[in-house]
Amino acid sequence: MGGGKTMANTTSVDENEKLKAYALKEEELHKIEVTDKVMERIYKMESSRAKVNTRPVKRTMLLTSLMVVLASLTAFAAAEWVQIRNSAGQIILTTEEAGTDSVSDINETMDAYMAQAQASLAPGEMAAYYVKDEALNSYDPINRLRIIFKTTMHASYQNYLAEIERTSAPKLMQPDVLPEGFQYASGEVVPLAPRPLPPGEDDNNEYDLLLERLIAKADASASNEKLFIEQVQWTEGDGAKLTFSNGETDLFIWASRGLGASIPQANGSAAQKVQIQESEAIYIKAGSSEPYTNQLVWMDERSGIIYTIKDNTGSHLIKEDLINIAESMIASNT
Amino acid sequence: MAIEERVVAVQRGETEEYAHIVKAYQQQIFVYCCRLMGSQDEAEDAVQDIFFKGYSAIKSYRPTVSFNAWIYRIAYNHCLTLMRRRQAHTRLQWLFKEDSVTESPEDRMVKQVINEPLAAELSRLSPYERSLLILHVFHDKTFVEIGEMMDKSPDAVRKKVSRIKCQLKQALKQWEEEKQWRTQPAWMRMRS
Repeated sequence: MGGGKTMANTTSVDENEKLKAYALKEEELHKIEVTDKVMERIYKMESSRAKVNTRPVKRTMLLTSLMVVLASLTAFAAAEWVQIRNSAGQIILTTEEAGTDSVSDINETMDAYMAQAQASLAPGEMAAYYVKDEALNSYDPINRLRIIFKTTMHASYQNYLAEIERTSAPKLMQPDVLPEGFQYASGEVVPLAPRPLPPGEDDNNEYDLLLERLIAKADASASNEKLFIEQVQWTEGDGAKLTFSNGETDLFIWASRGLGASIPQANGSAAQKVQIQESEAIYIKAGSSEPYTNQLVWMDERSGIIYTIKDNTGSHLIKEDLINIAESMIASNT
Repeated sequence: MAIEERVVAVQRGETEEYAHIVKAYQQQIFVYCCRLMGSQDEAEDAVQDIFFKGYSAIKSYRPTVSFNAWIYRIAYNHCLTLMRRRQAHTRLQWLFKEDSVTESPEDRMVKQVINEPLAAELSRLSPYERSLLILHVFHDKTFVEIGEMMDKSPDAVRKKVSRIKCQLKQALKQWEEEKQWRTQPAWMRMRS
């Protein structure tokens, strides 16, 4: 009996050694040393906690201090993000470091495949695609299956509303308050796309089945074809977008369902929390490298919908313009 | 001092003892994250966040599982969040049709930590399956230890790992055969 178990273990060890032969040895990976950085963050956190716990603190003094801290948030430090928590204390919105634009061979390749896949779609169609490219799939193993959608831009607000209704998309309506001169330009609905299940839940869902089919197609293909596409039928909307314009500036409003959002915040942009009636929102004044001027994001906890208002570069709108729009939207939803 | 004693000390408020815990685990957690996420640069950032989270949660640690399993579990969940965020950004980009929302690959120069063809085959596995394989093959963790980390029974882990290795063996065997075919002189290929 013991011999059998020993043999099984030996076989397993041999198999593992064979697999290890295909991988970089541990000694070939970096040696890292993060102790000081970790401890620095910990001591900083402990220090902040100690200050908050100091007693007695007069309420007005504490509020004033908090307002000063909020108002003084300008350029960010790597660990200091603007965050909003829900009633359970969980972070639902947070800014985070934005990636910088970068051109790399792999990115260019990915963009080219995406463009090729997109070109095969008619407005309103959604598809999944897989690229038979080991370098690409190793680079981004989580997104081996990619979903694309060619939007239908509704020039008619009524048609947009009908699409919202048809697809049960988040009900993003034209706000009662808009800056002077801005009018409806277009509305779009974005479909609910297939998504992978959390790990450990191995039941085959649509995403997994799509990926399996496309990989099988790719493996079976004897040609040099790299791009494998399958159209995905959809009936349910996951997001909506409205565009307004005054002829010079465009204003965009998005609504999407989610548990929260991470908002990229580039160097040079300034983020702060703002209060809009009973809700907290994150406002970002963009730096010079950003493709927008103002951004306001908040979440309606009750409906689980995240709203974003953004304009484009060169806009003369100010923070209060976006806040006024948001206020009218929040008032309409209550 | 044993790690478990240092953990108790940190829980008592001796924050400085946590530095010893970081030192003891940082390299192995880094290697784990590298293999799971496929990027040394991302893994190095992740390691700092993992240990910070570990400290923040350490008062809630109870020795019902080993500290080793506990910190690996934090590492796995954190890597998963990062990988999902990458996915969410891709989704946001698609929803909002803005390339600038995409997480940039600039900081994600991928250094292959696993040579092909294993990389190709691993990329076909889910993060969960990949984690099981990495812990078993590269970190020599037992099925009991892996079960503790992933909150599964050792038997479930054993069966899953066995299935994954079988898959990999087939795929690698095919790759080897193709490699041999490619490296044979032309006259030999024609004969066979």
